[in-house]
Amino acid sequence: MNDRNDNQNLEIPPDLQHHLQEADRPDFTVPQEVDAFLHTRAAQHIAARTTRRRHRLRIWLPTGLTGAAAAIILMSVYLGPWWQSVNRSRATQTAGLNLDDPTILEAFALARLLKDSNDVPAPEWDYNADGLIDSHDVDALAAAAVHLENGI
Amino acid sequence: MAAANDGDPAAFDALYLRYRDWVLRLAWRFTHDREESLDVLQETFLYLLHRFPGFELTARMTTFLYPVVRSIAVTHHRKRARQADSDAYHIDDYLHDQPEKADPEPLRLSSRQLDALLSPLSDDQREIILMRFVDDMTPSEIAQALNIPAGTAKSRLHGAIRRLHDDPETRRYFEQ
Repeated sequence: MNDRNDNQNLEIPPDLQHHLQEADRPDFTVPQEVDAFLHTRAAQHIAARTTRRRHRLRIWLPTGLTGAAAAIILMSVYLGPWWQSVNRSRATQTAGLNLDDPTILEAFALARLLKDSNDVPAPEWDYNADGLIDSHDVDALAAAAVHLENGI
Repeated sequence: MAAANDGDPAAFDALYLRYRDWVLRLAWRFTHDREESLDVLQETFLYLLHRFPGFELTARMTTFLYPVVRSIAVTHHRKRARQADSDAYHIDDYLHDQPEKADPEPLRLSSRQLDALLSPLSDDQREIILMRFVDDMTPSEIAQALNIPAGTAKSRLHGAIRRLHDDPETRRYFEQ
């Protein structure tokens, strides 16, 4: 709009403009055959593109889904044991022993660790300080948790 | 435009009907030949069709189409000139009298009626006058379509109008 306003001095008289428009005009119109040709070509082009897109989807959608499923299976096969070990080691570390006030949960954690895991428990679990981490430590922890003296 | 990009053939038909006559007028302006004009029209719309889907229009459609029509028309014109040259060559070869080939006839921009009105102008000036006052393009759009600086388009337009103003044939329009 500003462009048009800025160029008001770049105008010609309306009569001259009208005569130019009249003179610059072919004395024939577009034949119906040309209209029909372009209409058909447009329909063909668009149909071809749509078919191509559908074909692509038909090929790539199942391929993509199969690939994703395979990736999930492979991840679970290869990363499953790793994830379990991470969880296990996390259990051994996070269920760390509180020497001042052990609870029965820590006794259970050590018992599960000794039963289920192949990992070597952390040295802190040697509650009875006999150099071994075994069921005696579990017993000692349980006894401490219920405030019983050893041997009672 | 969005519908055409979405694959709606009716949307392309609507675009075609909207710009068909303008493209024909432009093709006629460049070729001044019925068959060539119709060929240029077809090729222009086939070119446009193949831009879909994914066509993004960043200017007016006429600004986009103008250089396309112009380029196709020039190509057609050169092909025709080469063909004429080639035919001449065979005849001359047969006669063993080969004259120097003439340059192809320059692209005509206007009909006889237009020639009368725009006779004082150069081809560049004629083109810009028609773009401005027949195609209703702004100087910025003209600059974009011709790929020239806006200042050049304005000064070319200004010079053309001044010539029309000073020419005895067209001065009367300015005196009314």
